[in-house]
Amino acid sequence: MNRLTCESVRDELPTLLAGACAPADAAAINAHLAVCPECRAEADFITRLRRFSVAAPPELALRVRAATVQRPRRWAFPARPALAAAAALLIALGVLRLLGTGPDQIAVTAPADADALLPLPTGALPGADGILAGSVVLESLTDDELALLLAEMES
Amino acid sequence: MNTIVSPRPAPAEAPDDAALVERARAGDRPALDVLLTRHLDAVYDLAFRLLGDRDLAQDAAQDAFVNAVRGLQRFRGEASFRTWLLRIAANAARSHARRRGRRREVGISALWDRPGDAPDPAERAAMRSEAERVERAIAALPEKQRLAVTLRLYQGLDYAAVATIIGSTEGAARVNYHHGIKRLREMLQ
Repeated sequence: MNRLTCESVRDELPTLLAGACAPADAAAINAHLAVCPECRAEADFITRLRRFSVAAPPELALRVRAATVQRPRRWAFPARPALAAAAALLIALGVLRLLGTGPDQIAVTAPADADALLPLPTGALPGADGILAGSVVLESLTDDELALLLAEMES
Repeated sequence: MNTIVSPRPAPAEAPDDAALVERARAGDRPALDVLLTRHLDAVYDLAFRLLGDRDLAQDAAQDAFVNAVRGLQRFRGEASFRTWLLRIAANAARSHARRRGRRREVGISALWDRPGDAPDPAERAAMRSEAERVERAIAALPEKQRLAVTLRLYQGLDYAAVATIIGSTEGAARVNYHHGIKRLREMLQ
């Protein structure tokens, strides 16, 4: 840094006081401060201000870490619940067709005596709350299997 | 008060932001954590200066980091990561400010509470009083002066980075800084 003006020194005071000046620049500024009471007063004032920095509260680090955890990639169609329900219905239709029951016999809500009517495999039975077991099977599909299923639905 | 300052000693070996950003982009979570931790105070400080409210500043800081992580693949390195992140933080804080409406009175009381800096109770009380005066004076500055002063004094940013964050030219950032310092000196004489 060549011949310094008060303006250029005051421009650089924050950098100097942060200890971030190059050694040659720091020496030149300090030399100016030694002979310039006005710039020295400004350096004193800035030193006074710098005592009161604001630190983040400790809990913020935890909040930020939790908020920035990358979740595993999931299917995220806008109509995912509707598609899932439709796919579950298709699976249930397929299961019932395999078991020899016609579409006119299908009920989405399981009858109270469902176990007595059809000896279905355990994994394909509707749950007690009426939710078809197929929706559980859907959750366990791989991405490729789900893509294939959706393609079939579209066709 | 002694104003003669020694130049900074040689920095210890630590990955710089650019290297950490590359690692974080490749899915290196520990690298991302180092980045988040390194800039946490700066982001919070900026949000606090804009909002004047500790809780809102935390919300804005969290939003800023979430937005930054989501946009990390789009970071081109035209400015430093710190400058890029602080610009995101300024936008997040302004968004919170718009939702809140009028700027609230600055909640000063918990700003300065570092017992290690002044173990003596009387000295601590004096420091807290001084901290309140300083923070109220800074909070009274117009936004661009406030940001120029705090980004320059507390974050050590150069004028080009300050200009990027406050959305002005470098010359205007310099003018805002000097006007802010002048007004603070008048208020705190």
